[in-house]
Amino acid sequence: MATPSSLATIADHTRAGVAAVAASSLAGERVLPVDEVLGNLFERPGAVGLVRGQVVHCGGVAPLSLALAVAAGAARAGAWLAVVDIASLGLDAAVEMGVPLERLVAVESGPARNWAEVVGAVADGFELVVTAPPRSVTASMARKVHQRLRARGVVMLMLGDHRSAAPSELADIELCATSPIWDGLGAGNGHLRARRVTISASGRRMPHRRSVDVLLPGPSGRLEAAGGEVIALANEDLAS
Amino acid sequence: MTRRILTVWCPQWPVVAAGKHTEIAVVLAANRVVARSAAAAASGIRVGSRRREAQRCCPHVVLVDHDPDRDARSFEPVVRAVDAFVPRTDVVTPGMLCIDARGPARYFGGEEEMARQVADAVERAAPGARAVVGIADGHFASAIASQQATPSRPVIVAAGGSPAFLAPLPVRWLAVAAGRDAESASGGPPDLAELVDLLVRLGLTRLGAVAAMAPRDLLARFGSIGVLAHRLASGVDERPPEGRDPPPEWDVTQVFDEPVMSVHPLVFCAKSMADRLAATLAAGGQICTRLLVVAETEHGERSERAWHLATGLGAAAMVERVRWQLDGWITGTGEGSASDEPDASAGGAGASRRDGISAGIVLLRFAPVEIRADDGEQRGLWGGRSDADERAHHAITRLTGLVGQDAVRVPVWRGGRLPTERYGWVPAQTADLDRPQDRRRGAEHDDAAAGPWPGALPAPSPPVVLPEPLQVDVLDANGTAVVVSGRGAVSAPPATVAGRAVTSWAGPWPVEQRWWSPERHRRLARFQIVLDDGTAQLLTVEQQCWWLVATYS
Repeated sequence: MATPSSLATIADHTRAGVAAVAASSLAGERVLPVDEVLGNLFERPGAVGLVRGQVVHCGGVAPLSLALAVAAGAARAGAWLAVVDIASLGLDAAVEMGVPLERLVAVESGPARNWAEVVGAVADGFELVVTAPPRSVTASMARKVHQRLRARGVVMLMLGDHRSAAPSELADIELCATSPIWDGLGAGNGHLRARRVTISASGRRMPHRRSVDVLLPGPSGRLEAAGGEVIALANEDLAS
Repeated sequence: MTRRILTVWCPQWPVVAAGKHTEIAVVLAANRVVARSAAAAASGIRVGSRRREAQRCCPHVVLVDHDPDRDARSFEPVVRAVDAFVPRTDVVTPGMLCIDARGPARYFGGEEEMARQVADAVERAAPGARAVVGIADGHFASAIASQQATPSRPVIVAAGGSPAFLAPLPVRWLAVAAGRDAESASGGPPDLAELVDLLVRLGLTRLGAVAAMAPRDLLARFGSIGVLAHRLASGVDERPPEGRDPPPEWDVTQVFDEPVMSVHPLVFCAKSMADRLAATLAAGGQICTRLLVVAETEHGERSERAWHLATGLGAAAMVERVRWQLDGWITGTGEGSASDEPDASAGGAGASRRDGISAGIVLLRFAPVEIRADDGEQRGLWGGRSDADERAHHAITRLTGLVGQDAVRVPVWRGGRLPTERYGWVPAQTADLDRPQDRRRGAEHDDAAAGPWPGALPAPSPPVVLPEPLQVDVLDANGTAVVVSGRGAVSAPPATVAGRAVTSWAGPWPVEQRWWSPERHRRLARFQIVLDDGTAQLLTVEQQCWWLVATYS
C-alpha cells in the first residue's frame, strides 16, 4: 500500500506541477466572465469576473437562481458546469437563465464521505461547480476541497442552504439575495412574471458591501437589470 | 534509411478483450459501435453505426460498453508473447503493435517464418484474437500490409517495395492509418479525413498520385498535413529524416522512498511527470512520438514498454499509456478478458502468467526515445472540440468510475407540460457528448416530443423542481381545505399553505393528459402562489390532494 511518505511525495509533485501551471496562466485567464448585470459585484482592479479558484456562497431567498445566474455567464463562454448533489435542479429555469445544457453534467456523490472525493474529481475537468455541501462535511474536509479547487482554478458556487454552517466560512465572496418582490401575480389572476431582489456581495477582500437591484428572474427567465420602468410596471400591476 | 517493421494487428480487439468474440456482440462507445464480432459483421452491423441500427440488424445482439483499460489490460499477454521475439515492442494502441523486424527475422529463418511464429504466439496468448501480421518498410506500409493480411497468410512487402506497394491503393488508406490511433485520447490528426476527401475531389485518388506530387506544392496548398500525407504515401516513414535522439537529461525519473502497490497514486504521480516532460519537450519545440515507460519494483521486477504514436504523445496520452501498462502489470493479466479462459499453452511462447507483482513499485521513469519537431495543431475556430471539452470528457469518465454510471448524468429534452417531465436525465457515458444537438429542445426525431406544448406554464420557470412532490395543506380564510371542482372552480381563495399566509395567487390551470390511456391518464390543476416570506411556489391539485411541485427559489 501507499504509505504516508510516498503519498507526501506525490502530493509535493502535484503541488509543484499545479503551481507551474498556475504561474504560467495569463492574468486574463484568471477570471471567468459574468453577466454584466452582476459586473458591479465582481469588479476588482484590472478585471471584472469570477476569479478562478474562488468559492462563492449564494444565499438569501434565491440561492439556486443566484448560482445559475452567476454560472450562466461563464458557461456561455465555453466553461463546463458540474452540478453536484442537487437533485432538484429545474432545467427549464437553467435554460432560461442562459446555461447551455450541453455543458452541464449532474453528479450524485452518494454517501457523504464521497462528496469531497467527487468534488475533487470534478475539479480536474470542470471550471464551475454548483453544489451544496452535505451537513456531515467537516470544516477540515471542506478546506482540503477548497485548496484543490484553488489549485485547479475552479469556481465553486456553494448554495447557502442552512443545512451546513461550517463550510460557509470558506467563502471568498458571499452573495445574498434579499427583499424579494414578485411581480405579475394578483388575487387569483395573472402569472409570475419577474422577481425584484437586492443582491449584496461581501467578502474577505472587499472593503465594503456592494449591492445591486436586479430582476431574478426577469420576464424571460433571465437575469435582468432592474430599470425604472420595470418598477413602474410592477406598481401598475399591483394596483390592478 | 527506413526500417523493416512487423505489425501485429488484432482486428476488432475490443470485442476480443471483452471475451465476446464468439457471440454476436458489439462494443459501444458513446452509443456508437466501435468494434463487432465476426458473427455480428455477418448480420450486417457496421463499425460506426448507432446502437439502434445495430439492434435493428440483429435484435439479440450482445451489447458491451467500451473500456479502453480492459482492452489494454487484456492486450498485455499479447505484448508479452511478442516480447519473447524481440527486445523492444512498440505498442501503438491496444490491438496493434509493431516490432523492428530486421535482426530477429534473420534469427528465425526469414521474414515469412518469423511472421508465422509471431502470429502463432499471439494466437496462443489470446485465443480467438485472429491476429494478422504484415511486414514492410516503415510503419505506415507495415500497418496497411497487416490490414490486408489474413490469419493464415501474412503480407510481406519486399525491402524497398513499399512505394510500389502503396501506389495503387486508394487515398482513403491515409485516413485508415490515422484511424488506427484515433480512438486514443490524443487522437489522430482530425483533418486527415478531410484532406483525403479533398484529395479525391481534386482527382488524386491513388496514393501513388499523391507521392508523385512535389512535397513543396502539397505544403503550400495544405500545410504540414500535406507533407505528412506525402511522406506516408511515398512509403517513407512518418518520422522525418532529421529526427534526432533526445538528450538523456530529458528523462523524467521518480523514485519512491516507500514502495507503492496500487495503480491510482502512481497514475497521479505519472500525471505530474508527464506534464513536466511535455513542458520540457514543448520548450524545445519538440513532440515525443515514442515514449519508453519503465517501472521497477523493490524486488527488481521490471516492466519496460515503448509506446509509439505517430501523431505525437501529449501529456494526457502518456498518462493513459502508463495506466494501461501498470494496470496489466500490477494486477496480473486480464480480469474479465479473453485470457480468462483456461489456456494451458500460454507458457509456450515464454509468456508465463504472473499474478501481479510481488513488491511495491519504487521507480517510475519516462524516457522520450523518439522526438520530432512539433508542427503544432490548430484548434477549431468554431465548433469542434475545445480544450475544455476534452478535459470535461476525461473528468466524466473518471467520475463515472468513482460513483457509478447512473450517478453522472446529462440532461435530455423530453417535452411536456409539467416541470418534472420536460427534461430527463441520461447517464453521461451513454450520451454522445460530441453531438449535443441530439439532446437539445426540438431536436428529437419524435415530432410529439418537440412540441409545441400548449398549456405549459410561461417563463420564468421554477429553478427548484422537487424530485418527489410534497403533500401540503392549503386552507382558506376559515381554515377549511380548498377544493377544486371538476369544472375548474376554486371553492375559496387559498389563505394559507402549510401554515404560511398567501399574499397572492393564480390558478387553477387544468391539465388533462393521456385521457385515452387508463393507466397513464392524469388530471390535475396548477396554481402559482406567493407566500408572505416572499417565496413563490408551484402547487398542483390531483386526486383531491395538494402537492408542492416546485419552488421559485
